[in-house]
Amino acid sequence: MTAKTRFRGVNHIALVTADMAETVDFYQNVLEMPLVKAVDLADGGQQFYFDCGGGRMLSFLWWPDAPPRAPGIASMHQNFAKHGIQTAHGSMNHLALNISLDRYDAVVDWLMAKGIVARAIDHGLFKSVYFRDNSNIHMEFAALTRGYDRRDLGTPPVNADGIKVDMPSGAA
Amino acid sequence: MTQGDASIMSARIGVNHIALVCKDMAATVDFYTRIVGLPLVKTLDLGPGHGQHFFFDCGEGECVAFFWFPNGPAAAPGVASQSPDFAHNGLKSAHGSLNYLSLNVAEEEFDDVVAELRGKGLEVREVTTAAGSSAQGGHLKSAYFFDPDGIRVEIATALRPSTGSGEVIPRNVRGERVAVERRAHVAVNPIVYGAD
Repeated sequence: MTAKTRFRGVNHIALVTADMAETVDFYQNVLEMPLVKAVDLADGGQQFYFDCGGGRMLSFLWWPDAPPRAPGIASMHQNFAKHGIQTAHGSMNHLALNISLDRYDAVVDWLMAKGIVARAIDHGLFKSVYFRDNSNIHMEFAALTRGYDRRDLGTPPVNADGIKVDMPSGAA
Repeated sequence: MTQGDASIMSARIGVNHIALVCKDMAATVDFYTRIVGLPLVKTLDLGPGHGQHFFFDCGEGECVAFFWFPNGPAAAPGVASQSPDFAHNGLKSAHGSLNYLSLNVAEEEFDDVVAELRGKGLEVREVTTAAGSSAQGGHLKSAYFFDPDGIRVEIATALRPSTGSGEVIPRNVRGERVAVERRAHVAVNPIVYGAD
């Protein structure tokens, strides 16, 4: 396996909102993530940062003329049961924030109590609860039930044509 | 539970994984393991006709994950990700999209990490740390590269301690500044935004 990485986790994840005021209301007041930094950008936009725990930040950008939402391309389609979960190459499909396993049930209850439509799914390795933010971004709170180990590495990757190929040497 | 309830705040421990989408999983594995140096920790077939989901360890127990979808939509620069020619096209991407991902490195290892990535042939562009940009972005140091699917990945040292947010009022969808009160325990009922 590749040597331990020199990266030290996520610094921040920068997403795009149509309405920063609504985003502040959702993240600060509904999800109760402290707003830790807010900047007016030189290009007329804004960037706000919320504390999502563990020293990490979830950040939102706003521009007066950013392109409109592109469901199925730039974010997961709201009606993914009908349209599928796929989004474009180079896009973010969803974002999973980390929660501790012993607090998982409390977090699910807490989301539900907020009136957020949430789907709880036990994947085995993860216990997950999915919901949407005010920008219709597909969000997840996920708790790992164990560490990753060798049994997680049995599947060779596919190439652009969907053909399984040998695992590249860097992952060996 | 009430606003700032310690039990909810303490339940949150950062990012579990950010799920991105690639065109070629083998190329993505090669890029992130051999060039960027993120160990592959999880490989998953989603079932016939559904694609794959692979996870790479970006440190501190967090993962950068990728989906591969059969017949996944082509890259949409400027919509689903930043335009690679952002100097001309601007930095914007669509509402609800990822604009960029920023990963931490230790300040004392920053120069080494950038040199190492460049040594492997990756084009890494450093961001000026002039006083103006530093005050705005809040980074001590940062650099960035584009991955094979055009995702902008930033390499950053930790943000400065918060400069606070009291001075900047958020803008709404019409661009008007709207002060948002801190409200305790807002319930959204039901949360249905927009229609696809």
